[in-house]
Amino acid sequence: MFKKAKWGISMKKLSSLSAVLLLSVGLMAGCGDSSKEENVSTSKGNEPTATQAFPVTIKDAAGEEVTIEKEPKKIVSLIPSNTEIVFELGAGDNVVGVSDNDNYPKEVENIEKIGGMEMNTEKVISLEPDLVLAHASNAHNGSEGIKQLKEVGIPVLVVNDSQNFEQVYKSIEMIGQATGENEAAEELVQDMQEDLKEIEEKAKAVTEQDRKKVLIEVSPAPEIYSPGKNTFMNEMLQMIGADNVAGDLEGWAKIDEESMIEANPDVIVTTYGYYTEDPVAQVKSRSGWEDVTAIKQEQIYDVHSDLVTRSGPRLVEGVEELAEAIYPNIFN
Amino acid sequence: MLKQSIRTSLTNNKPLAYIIAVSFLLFSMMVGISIGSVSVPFLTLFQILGKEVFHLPIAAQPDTMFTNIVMNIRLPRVLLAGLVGASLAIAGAAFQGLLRNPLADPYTLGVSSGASVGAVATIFLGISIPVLGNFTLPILSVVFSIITIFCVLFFAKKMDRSMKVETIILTGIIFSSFLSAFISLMIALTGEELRQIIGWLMGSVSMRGWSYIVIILPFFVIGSLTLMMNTQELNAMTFGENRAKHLGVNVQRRKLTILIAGSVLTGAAVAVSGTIGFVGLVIPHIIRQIWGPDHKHLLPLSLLIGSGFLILADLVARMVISPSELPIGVITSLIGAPAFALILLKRRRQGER
Repeated sequence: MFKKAKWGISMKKLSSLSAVLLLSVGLMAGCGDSSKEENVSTSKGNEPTATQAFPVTIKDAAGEEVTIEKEPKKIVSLIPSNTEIVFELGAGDNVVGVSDNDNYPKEVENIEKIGGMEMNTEKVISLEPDLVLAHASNAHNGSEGIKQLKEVGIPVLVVNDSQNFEQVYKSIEMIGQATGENEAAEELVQDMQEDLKEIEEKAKAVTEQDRKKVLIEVSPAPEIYSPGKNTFMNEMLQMIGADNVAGDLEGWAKIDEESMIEANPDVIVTTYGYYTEDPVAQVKSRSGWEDVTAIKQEQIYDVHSDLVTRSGPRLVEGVEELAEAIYPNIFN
Repeated sequence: MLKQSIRTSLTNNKPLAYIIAVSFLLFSMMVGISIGSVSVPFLTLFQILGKEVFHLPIAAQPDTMFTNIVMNIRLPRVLLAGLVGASLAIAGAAFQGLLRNPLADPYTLGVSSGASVGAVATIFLGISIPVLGNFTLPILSVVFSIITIFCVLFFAKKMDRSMKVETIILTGIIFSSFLSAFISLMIALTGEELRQIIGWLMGSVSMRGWSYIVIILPFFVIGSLTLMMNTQELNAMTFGENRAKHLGVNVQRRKLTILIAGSVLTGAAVAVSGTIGFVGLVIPHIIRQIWGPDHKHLLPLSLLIGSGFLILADLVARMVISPSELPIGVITSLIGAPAFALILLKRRRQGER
């Protein structure tokens, strides 16, 4: 009688099916609409004028245009290098959340911790920040969390990853823009550039024959990794006028023992002293290494890892420490 | 047809099998010592070996760097790889025979998990015992593995007085999972030590030195000799424990002996080199395919071939992307799996004729 014979579906089933479809369409429309609304509201912000710092729109490392309405008073930093830059720019009082790995400056001990490798999104939201400084190096890990923060309306700025000093300056400027400390950022970058120039000048005193071969170890035996091309430490060694044993390899390279002995470094620098006991003694006691120049002349030094790997303002200190260890006559 | 009979006579000829196995081992050792990221000229190599190893009166003074590399880096590395490969292969063969399970390997009983927990805990907690110093890790690892063996056996006995093999395997799985959970926990909580821990777990024989050989040697000697004294009993137990008992085998005692000997071998091997997989599982199978399931020959041949195999695997691991190194466990599986597949295919095709 009805369409039952034609369609093969009873009226009851048809009505329940259409009810479910309507419901799901309605839900999806609802969810879709809310995000659209947000985009509309944030893009209503003005472009920064010459005299006014806020609101400001910055294109971050993830390619997103992030708009910060006013000077942030509650900043959450997801990675120690961001924190160090913020403090150095003088906005440290506005930091309300840092990662578990933060250890500098001392003030961070009293600041709320929001997680280590994985950030605790709830904690971050509970701090009600008006700016979250993320980082390109762990953005893909925390992309879900970052998305959640954005959905709640918190501006998230992904600071660029840095493999060399130029990129560090860029990240300092980006954070400076975001926190309204443009002048401080410019000053900091200038200071860093001047200090490094000074070191490069002094390094010109290193003659060809005095040039030393340096082996940097970033992890203890038996998994010894050494920084090669496109790492800070490689750049630092070049600035100081030293040769990097791992200089031909890409990134963090694992070198086998034989090659290290053959390379016969003049100086060995370790950066794992802060979690390994007496790295210098460990290196000295390696069997088979007795005739390596660095061991014979006891040129083994430990430099704190944070100073040479954290892409922040203290890198200059790292360069100075390296320089002092390798060429004590020229730098002190 | 001629080919078939040659093959049969080859595989039945046991002395020839040993000659092949020993030559393979010697060949691997020679290749392993000669090749490395630093190319040592052959003449220098012979001079160094002649002088230091055989104490021959050679006038030439080889370069100290080469001597250091060969004597203190390459030679102990090759020997360690050989000992570890031998331990894992013979333990694997024994377990496969005892547990009557072709999928059994030295890690089935959870001993390797115990050893790993000991090692990972040492790295994670930064433990350093004053007397032992740098050797805290392997020694703690061995201690943990021994504790694990006894826990597994004790628990298995509690569960089932006769300690049927199914019970032992189940107990092994229980302990293995439980201990692995600890390792995962430490990995989740670790900060700086992650690379060290993962590196250790993937297995390696690099930067160990002669002292590690001293650690594994006693366990290797005692374990292998014990196992080789039990080959007759292993053969008998292949037919089932009741039959073995009727053949006059003291099943309970022999089972315990073999289990403990095999576990001690495994524990020591894992303690000095991390968890290198595949060797204990597949080498006995390969031997069995070529030379038959008689444990009297299976065990020693596994020992020799397993030894040579791991030396070659280590050679590949350190040469393929020299001067960088790959983890040896990756190489054992990459080479071993296709090789095993080839052997199975060849045998299968032969059997169909």
